[in-house]
Amino acid sequence: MRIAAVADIHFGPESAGTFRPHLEGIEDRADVLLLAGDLTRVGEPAEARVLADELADLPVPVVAVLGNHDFHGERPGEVIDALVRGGIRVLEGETFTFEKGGMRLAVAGVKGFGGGFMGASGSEFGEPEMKAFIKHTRARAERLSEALAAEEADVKVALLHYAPIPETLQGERLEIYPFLGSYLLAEAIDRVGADLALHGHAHAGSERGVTPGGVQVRNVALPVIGRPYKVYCFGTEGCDDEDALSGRLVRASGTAAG
Amino acid sequence: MSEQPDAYTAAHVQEALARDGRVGELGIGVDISDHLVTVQGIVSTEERRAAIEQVVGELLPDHEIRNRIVVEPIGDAGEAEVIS
Repeated sequence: MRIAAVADIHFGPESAGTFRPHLEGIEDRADVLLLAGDLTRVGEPAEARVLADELADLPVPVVAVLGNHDFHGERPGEVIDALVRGGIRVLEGETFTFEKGGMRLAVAGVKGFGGGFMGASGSEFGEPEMKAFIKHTRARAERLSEALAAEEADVKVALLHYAPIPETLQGERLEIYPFLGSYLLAEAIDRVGADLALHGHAHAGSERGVTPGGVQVRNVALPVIGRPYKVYCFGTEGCDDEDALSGRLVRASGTAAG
Repeated sequence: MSEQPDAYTAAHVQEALARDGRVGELGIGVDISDHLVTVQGIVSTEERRAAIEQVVGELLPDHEIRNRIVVEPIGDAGEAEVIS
């Protein structure tokens, strides 16, 4: 199973025609394309329509979660409608499943939210606004757990916009970590188990990390990966074909790479 | 009342660049000194780079603008990673 992923493509009206050329031949390198939020610049439905047109008739399924930018226009329902009309599956607490070569993939998607990480996180304490902030994150984390548990699969992927761990934020200013993610998301992933967690949001962060429970985490923000998408491969089919994967293979088994 | 310190003005410009529908960028660095505004960061299109300069110019018409925003092109698909 070959999973292509990218986040933070921030489409605006002027972005038409800028992304599709980079997706030519994706079907030779990946079985599915995951978009980890911030699909639009400021959450205008017109921006989502430009992206939907850009991805129309792509030969692999496209699955997405929204990011904070996609909420800025306060019309997330219309943004989702535009994406769905373009054939993009948008998840918020749901699970997308896909089978190929006898392998079953389940993608559990939520936007997530902030709050910070162990030892430096917000609590449901004090003003109602602070309680609402953390409650929102906790609710997203619970939906992530439920979505991960909803389907049996050979490969389970948690698709987020916000980060579940601080390691993939390295490069960002420490002061903004609480706005970039929450440990509650990692806890939700570790509670149920997954093979990979993908997120974006942290443009100056780092690509690789691992949850306390051992789940691999990748920050696929476009500025971090520096390419239109990154491919993550599970199993054997297609994973040992360097030509098909279009480049050098890097084997990551949690601790060692090379 | 004395003139607002440049640090506050820079923070408000940074917030405006996030909110303004022509830009919508949260990671733009803004520095102001002696009526010179320096903006820096990475965006994906030339149009967005120009929009940043336009918004800053509207907010601070009496300041000179040094635009150090970089437009970063998207690279090739590149290598894959096998997770086992």
